[in-house]
Amino acid sequence: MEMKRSCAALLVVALLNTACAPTTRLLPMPEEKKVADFQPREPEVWGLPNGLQVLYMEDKELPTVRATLYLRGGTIQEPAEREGLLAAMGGMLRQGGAGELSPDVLDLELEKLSAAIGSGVSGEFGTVSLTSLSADLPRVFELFEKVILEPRFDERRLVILKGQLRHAIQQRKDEGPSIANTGFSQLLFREGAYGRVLESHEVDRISSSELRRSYREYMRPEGALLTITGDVSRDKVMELLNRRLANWRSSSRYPTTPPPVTRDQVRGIVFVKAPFAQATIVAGHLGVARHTQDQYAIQIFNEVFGAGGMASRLFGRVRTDLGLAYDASGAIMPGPVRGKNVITVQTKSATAGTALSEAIKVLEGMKQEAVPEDELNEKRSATLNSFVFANESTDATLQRRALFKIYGYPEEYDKTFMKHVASVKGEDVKRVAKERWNFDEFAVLVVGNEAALESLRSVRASLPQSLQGPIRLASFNEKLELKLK
Amino acid sequence: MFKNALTWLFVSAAVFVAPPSNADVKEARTALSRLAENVKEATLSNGIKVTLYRRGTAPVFAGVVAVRVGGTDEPKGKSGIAHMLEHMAFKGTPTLGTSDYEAEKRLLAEQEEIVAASQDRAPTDEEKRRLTEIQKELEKLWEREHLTREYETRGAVGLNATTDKEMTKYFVSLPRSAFEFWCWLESERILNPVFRQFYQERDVVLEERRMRYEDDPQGKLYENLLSKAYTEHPYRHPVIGYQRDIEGLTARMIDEFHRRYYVGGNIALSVVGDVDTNADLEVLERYFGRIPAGSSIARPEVVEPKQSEERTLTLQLDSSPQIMLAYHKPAFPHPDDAPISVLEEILGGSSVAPLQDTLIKKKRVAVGVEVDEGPGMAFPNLVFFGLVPRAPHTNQELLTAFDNEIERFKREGPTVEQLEMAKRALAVQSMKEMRGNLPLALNLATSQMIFGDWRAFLTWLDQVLQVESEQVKKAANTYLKRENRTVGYLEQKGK
Repeated sequence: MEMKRSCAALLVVALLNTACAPTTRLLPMPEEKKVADFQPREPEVWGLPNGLQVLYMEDKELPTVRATLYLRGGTIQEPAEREGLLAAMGGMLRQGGAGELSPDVLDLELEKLSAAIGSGVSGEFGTVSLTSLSADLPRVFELFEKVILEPRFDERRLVILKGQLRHAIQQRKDEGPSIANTGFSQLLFREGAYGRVLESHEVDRISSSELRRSYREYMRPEGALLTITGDVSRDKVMELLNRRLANWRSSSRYPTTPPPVTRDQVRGIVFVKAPFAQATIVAGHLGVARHTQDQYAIQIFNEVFGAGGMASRLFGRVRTDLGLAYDASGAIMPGPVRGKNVITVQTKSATAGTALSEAIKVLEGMKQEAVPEDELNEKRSATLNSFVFANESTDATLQRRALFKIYGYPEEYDKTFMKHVASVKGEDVKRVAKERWNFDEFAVLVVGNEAALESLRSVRASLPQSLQGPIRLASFNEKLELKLK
Repeated sequence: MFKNALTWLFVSAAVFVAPPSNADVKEARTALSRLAENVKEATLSNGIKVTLYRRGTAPVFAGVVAVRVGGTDEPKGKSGIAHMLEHMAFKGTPTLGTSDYEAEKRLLAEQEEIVAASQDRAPTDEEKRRLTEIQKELEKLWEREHLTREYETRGAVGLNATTDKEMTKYFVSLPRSAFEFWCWLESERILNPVFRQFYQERDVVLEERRMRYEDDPQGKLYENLLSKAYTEHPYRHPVIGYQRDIEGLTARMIDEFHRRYYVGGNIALSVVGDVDTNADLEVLERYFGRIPAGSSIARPEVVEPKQSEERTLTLQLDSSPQIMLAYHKPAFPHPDDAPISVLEEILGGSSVAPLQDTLIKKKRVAVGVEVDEGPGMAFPNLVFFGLVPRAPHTNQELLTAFDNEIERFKREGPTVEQLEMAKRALAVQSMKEMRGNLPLALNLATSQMIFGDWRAFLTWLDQVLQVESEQVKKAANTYLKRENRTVGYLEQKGK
């Protein structure tokens, strides 16, 4: 309703402009039209006796097939003393050869088929994926099964992977944002399951036998999901699955419940000196769990504050008004137990302090005043009208459904989404800003040169009380080195 | 040694692996032909080229406006102006972005008068005072990011733009209900742009430059490599511009540049998704047909002198070491382009390619090998190799191993299997690139703008599929020569 009013006003301006302009080429803005109702196709879903669930959609436009196996549990459930092993196992599933195929032979066969199989394990889940031409699917699916059921974890290939891991660890300190993001995670989650950082000496202990152990402890069909779409019939999919994956058995008891966050986060400003032209600033504190009553209000808060791209307040102030940064973003990012509330800005050294204090002022503004109805309407419309893209393609629908199951969203989430978003009020957004952001808990990590440090010092008095204490200096080698009590 | 290893690999593989199937290549090629048959093309009354493709079931589309202007078109001393203009195209129009356009127009004109008057000297105290006043008055009139907000309320996703060496592309995905709005807004910002907030945006671009080039070791190496590999051609200049050039740009310069290049004969549109290939043309004509046709704009004809000896450069940074190599080559539609594409794919396009196989897997002197080409497509360009040494190996050791591998390939040429595998990979990649609405729309607009025909990607693929072993070997011997290359070393400071 409000939206219509503002558009009508624009239309008047446009017409006036037409009358005044020396050209006849001006045309008024077309009237806003309602987004067409769209009932996306539903995937066909069925379960196998071993607990693997299949989500399938046909898409015949091009002769290709895409499939992904989603495995429950991830590196956050890995015991601290085994840090890095599950992620390495995830990569080596595909890289390390399978069945009778050495890694080189598997690589070659996939290249000859112009097919790809990939694998990995991240924080909350693991995946094994394939893309194939339809005609080659029987063979590519056979290779996919071998990767899942008979990985070799080849020793020679593991040496290559370990070299790449060591290099990635060394590279962390090459750029400001990678230092800042790694370090900020450490400040929030300390050495717990969510903040552990792989170090070189831990790479040394990765061995094929440890990867096999991780494989046995982790991989299982119960609760796993297989999405498959493309130019392939349902009958063909069933036939492929029944051949081998349907018989997959495992004694794995790998936990899937996210572990608690056990230690207090660090507070205050921490500075890492590094010779960059820009300072990277990451600020915020521990956040909320994924499923809260506020999740829709949080979504709108994020759009207004700093996750809505160019149209968000943080971007508007720091970039559009002041020209301080190419990008500025901020959001409440829910997590499995505790999420992160994060503000990120990169700016030239001399304006590091100004950028931080301006970002904090934008947040303060959201805590003080309810979002006006016009702005709220814009954000609700943006969220509701773009919802159609959630099911833009069969790949998008399947990925969304699978991740929702992994993250434990209720079945009716998408069906009630529009109603919930439409009912978010300005006061709800203000409440979220007040209750979910707390300056007393703020941790700020800044990576920059001496000028950036000076700039920070110069604005300290204008920052919230909690950030006016001494700036702690830390070094960063493979990870943030900060002596903490 | 390596030859034996590779032979062993293929012998072992033969036990399990069927040879590449030509039937599959044909299938991919046929799928692309089928797709092409359903592309509708048209030319609007002012010369704007249009391609439309209907697909999918969701009521959404991707729209691309491509303008044939980029880094190669920039006058000396104004590097970065095409990219700056792309940023300014998001600032709105007389009806988007201000509460009082007439008042704003007067203030912006006065601001530019003062800027022009103080172009070659420092502004006086009075000028500074007035500029500050003007800025404050303007800020009261501006409606921040109005253009973006109008798009987003209609459900836009992925609203963005890019500028490269020879083209500027504006793109977005929208619900079908906003098709007419897209036509209106995109034509309106070409026809009636208002370059407001110019000086803040210039600072933003300087921040972008710091982020992408000054603080990014790879970006810095790439920028330096281009300026060394080219001595005359505008490909040697960064698209984002040199810092001193960006700092010298004014809103008036942007306006002049815009008037010259943003004309009908220099624009292509493509729309993919939920489109009505007949009715939509009328809507496109109604809105985009308003843009003046303009005159044909010739690109600068600068011929890069032939390189006669190897060039090198070294950057010492607080960063992991790496090497970037650039070899000169001709561009499509030169008959050597397709063999070079196949050569790139064979040498380093996959995990079994000789460079990956030897440098990463067998000799373990590298952790990463990449092959690419650029920096543009319309003029003779470069094949790039990016090499990252595996500690404790040095850049020099890695380069020696790389050179040995290249020399071996130049002597032996590709095997039949390598050739067929590369052709098939390129065919399948071409098909995969057409899957999403936006990638297809970008492909159609790019082919149209750079090569004058949206079918160029099919012509290229057909040439690729006909490439023979001897052509690949000849291409390697012709172009992968030391006197034809520039080597950029990134060495870790203090090591």
